[in-house]
Amino acid sequence: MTAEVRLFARMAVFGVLVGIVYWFLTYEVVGTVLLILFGVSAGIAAIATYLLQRAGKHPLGRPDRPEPAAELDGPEPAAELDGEPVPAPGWAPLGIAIGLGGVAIGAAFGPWALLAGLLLAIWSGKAWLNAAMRETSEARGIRRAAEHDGGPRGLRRASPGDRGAPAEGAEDPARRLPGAGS
Amino acid sequence: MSTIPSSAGSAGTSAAVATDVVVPGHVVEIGGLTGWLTTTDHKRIGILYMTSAFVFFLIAGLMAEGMRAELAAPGIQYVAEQGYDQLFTMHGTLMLLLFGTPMAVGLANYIVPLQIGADDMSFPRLNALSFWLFLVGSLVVLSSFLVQGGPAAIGWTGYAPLSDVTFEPGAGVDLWLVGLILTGISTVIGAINFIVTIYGRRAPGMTLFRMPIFTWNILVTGLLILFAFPPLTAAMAMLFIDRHLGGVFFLPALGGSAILWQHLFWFFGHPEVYILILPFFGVITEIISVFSRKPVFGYSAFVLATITIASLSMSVWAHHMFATGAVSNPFFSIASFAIAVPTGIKFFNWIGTMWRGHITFETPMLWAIGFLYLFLLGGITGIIVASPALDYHLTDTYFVVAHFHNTLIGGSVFAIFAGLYYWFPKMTGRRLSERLGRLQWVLWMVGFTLTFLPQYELGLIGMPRRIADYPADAGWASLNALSTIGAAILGIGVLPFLAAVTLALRRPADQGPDPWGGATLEWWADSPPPHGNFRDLPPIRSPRPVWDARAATSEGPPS
Repeated sequence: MTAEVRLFARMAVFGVLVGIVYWFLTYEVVGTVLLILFGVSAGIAAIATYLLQRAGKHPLGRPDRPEPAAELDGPEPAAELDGEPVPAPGWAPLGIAIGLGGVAIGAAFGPWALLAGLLLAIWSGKAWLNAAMRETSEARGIRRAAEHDGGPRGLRRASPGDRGAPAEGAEDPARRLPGAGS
Repeated sequence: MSTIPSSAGSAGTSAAVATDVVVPGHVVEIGGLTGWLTTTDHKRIGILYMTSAFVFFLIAGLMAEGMRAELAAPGIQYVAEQGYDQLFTMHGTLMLLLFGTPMAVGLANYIVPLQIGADDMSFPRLNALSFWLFLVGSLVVLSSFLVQGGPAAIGWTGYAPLSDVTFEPGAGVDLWLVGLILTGISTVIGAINFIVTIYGRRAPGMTLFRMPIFTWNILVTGLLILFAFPPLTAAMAMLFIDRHLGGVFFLPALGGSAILWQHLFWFFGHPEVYILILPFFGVITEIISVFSRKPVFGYSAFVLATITIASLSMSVWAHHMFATGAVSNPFFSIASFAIAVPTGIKFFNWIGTMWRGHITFETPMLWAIGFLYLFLLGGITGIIVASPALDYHLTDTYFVVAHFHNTLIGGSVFAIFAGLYYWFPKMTGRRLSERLGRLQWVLWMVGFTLTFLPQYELGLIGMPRRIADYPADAGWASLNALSTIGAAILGIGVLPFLAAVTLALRRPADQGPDPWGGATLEWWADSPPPHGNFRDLPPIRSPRPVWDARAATSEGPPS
């Protein structure tokens, strides 16, 4: 069990145990439900992380990067840079937030703001999805090209200041796709 | 933000050579206002978070000055009872939910990816959504000043049934509810992003137990947010249903339960206190270690203490409800006392870190030492109000007000200023004036003590909280006057900080990557770091990779 799993597992055990103790001390329903649900939700996170790690998968669909050996002779290798791309700037997050703000004000004052807000949020959400899909397909293209070239050793990335392009670690085809889930 | 050339990465044994690759068709950074509005860069989002939160801090601070002015002498001078109720409601809401929490999120947004050697957060676009939702939600809350009847006057705790439409018919409460639901969603999104980033984007070698303490504390804070905020958002939605859709969740006359609101609110509310302090425990730990030139003493114990505090904090919520007579006082009292143990471990760690260190007293360290003294007072008075027998006397008095300001100002705000002075060179390439920093620190130490020590005494002799007026013959006037003078000093004490920031930003950036001799990875990157953060990384073999790299090149650790 890795430290990541243990963190969730500890909280799960704590929540359930305290929930049980709390019930028999107080017979009070609300607190018991809240504590048990806290434990159960932490437990679900622990089990999910454990299963993913046992299956050799990283929680993000990317294999763990190797740890350096405990002892090394000679100069140590430097840590490898992350190399995951940054999504392009866009108006979608601001649009969704303003849209949801409209929904909120609409809930307080009336349906006109609610409807306008909802439309803006949906429209911005579509822009978000489009951008994410475009970045994913771009990254696939770059990965294919890199595999075709035999794949250069070492991490490739743009220089600081102008990067953010989908610079793929070409030696590692399982690296997470850019934009996916972002 | 401009990038400045520096020697980042040239000092260590670093061997990674970044090979540039040019990929067409991808804009990464836009200048001007559009750039800030559309950014997905964690550093810009962090700065947006911190700036907005600080503006809300100033607004809420002005509200506090208004309340203290009203209380300086008996009688009603400036605001009537309703206005006073609105002031303390909005002061609490802004300080806790629109300043404290987002300030922690903002600092973490900037620093955590740097400390774990990542380019950005795992979900940069979601990160931007998280900020904009927070800002829009905050503005919705503040917009209640513009509606008829003014903002909510129900206390930041919004106790039902007083917050029901019968007693508070105005739209202010509705805006308060929907605004806070938005910021609640934003905070949960942010927490998920932090947890995934810390789990998934650490540089090779950066095992969980080599992470800087600040990052550890943000991870644990993220978990707390994940478990604590949903009950609040749910409770607020339920209250909204009660107000407008015929619900009776919290209406005892119709079969609901007012105590249910208190359970749901405090199941969020007490972990929230730790959401507001754990990140800042991390800030203080980093600063004490760097300015004592020593590794953190008892690293693993510190981490375990953080996890223990977080777990215990989920089981102490009803110590806010001792006086209701509807909860098990022994259970919640013992659980609350238990938190003193891991907190004590942390104090032991901090003192152990300073012990025999080469301590220097730059401004961040001064704030950290102020934190140790003031937060300790907050902790000790916490033990007092965690005892039901004493709490029956002290609950809803100024003693409680003084106690939680001791933890939230003496703890969180002092640590926020410590962190801002400490990381400002990293964020801007410029150092804040030491002279102004010291002046601010002195004003705040004196102002804080003068404001809140009299309030302990006021509480002990029976002055209730949340009152705009008090009898002239109660013997409370002189202590209240003292407290108001202290609050004025605190208000004046913000000015040197604003001056220091203004002056610093007018100068050209002149700071290298590592002005303090820092140990953690953020000090390896340029100041300010460019888009993408690092040119290369040193080997990570301990929680102090930058010190290790310096030692390996016989520059030796900073002394």
